[in-house]
Amino acid sequence: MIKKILYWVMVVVIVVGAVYSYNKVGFGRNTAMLFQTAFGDATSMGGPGGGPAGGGQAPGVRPEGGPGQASSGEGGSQGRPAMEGAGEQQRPNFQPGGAGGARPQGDMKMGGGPGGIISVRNVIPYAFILAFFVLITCIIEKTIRRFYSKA
Amino acid sequence: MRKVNFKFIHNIFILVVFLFLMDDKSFLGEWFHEWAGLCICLFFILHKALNWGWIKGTTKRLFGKIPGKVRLNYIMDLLLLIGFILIIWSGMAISKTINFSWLGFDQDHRMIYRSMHTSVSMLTLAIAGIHLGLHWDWVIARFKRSK
Repeated sequence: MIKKILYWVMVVVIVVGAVYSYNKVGFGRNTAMLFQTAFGDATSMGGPGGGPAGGGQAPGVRPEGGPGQASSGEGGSQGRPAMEGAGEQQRPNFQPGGAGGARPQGDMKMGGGPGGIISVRNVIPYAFILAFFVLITCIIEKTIRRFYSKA
Repeated sequence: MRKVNFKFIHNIFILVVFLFLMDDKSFLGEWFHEWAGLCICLFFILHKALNWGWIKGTTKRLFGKIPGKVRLNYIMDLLLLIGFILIIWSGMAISKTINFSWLGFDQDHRMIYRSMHTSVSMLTLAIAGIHLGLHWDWVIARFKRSK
């Protein structure tokens, strides 16, 4: 009985966590980005916060990187950098093995070098998404197995 | 250490590192993201090498009579392999702390590499979840045996 309750609690936690994480990390948006790039629909790639692009890129893509172009890091939807790295072909201060180009302000907790702050909080949403796919696969597999054993 | 135990620990290690790699801002920042991304490539090759017998055997029997689950496993493994190759390839193209300019990546397509890196990693995470789900019985068996 306790096992069953624990199982259902775990299922609910994983599903709720995965739904929350799906929105938090922009899973659908980021996955669709590949197809949007492949089919040339670049206008919707930067999210609603996307500003005018530099360097001949399509509008709606948030520029980042070079001095004078650094944004606050909140250009993408849901506060997460949507297309970080866009416009980096212009970065003038590439430092191999070093800190890289100028970071966007407001993103100070991480560094380009090995001295960055250890933070695992951002990983949790991905763990929930992974757990969700594991759970779904297990449920489907068990259902199929049960169906064939009955038949 | 027995091969099966080594495989189990190795798989857990790959999974944990892969999760840490999903966000370039977590753990030790971009430096860790890029170096660990390269290292996981080697571990992934080792994962394939450790399961080479299964890969070889299933490839030979793929178009013959094999259970549907094995065929699905094989397809998922193939998709995972393609996913990892694309992630590493696009990651090299957009690398900030390691200089891969000697590989001659076209910097005009940096934006495409970037979106490819993000979206393929998301898809690969989903495929990795399915892969793990398909091997869940093995994982549970290993946990029970290690108790």
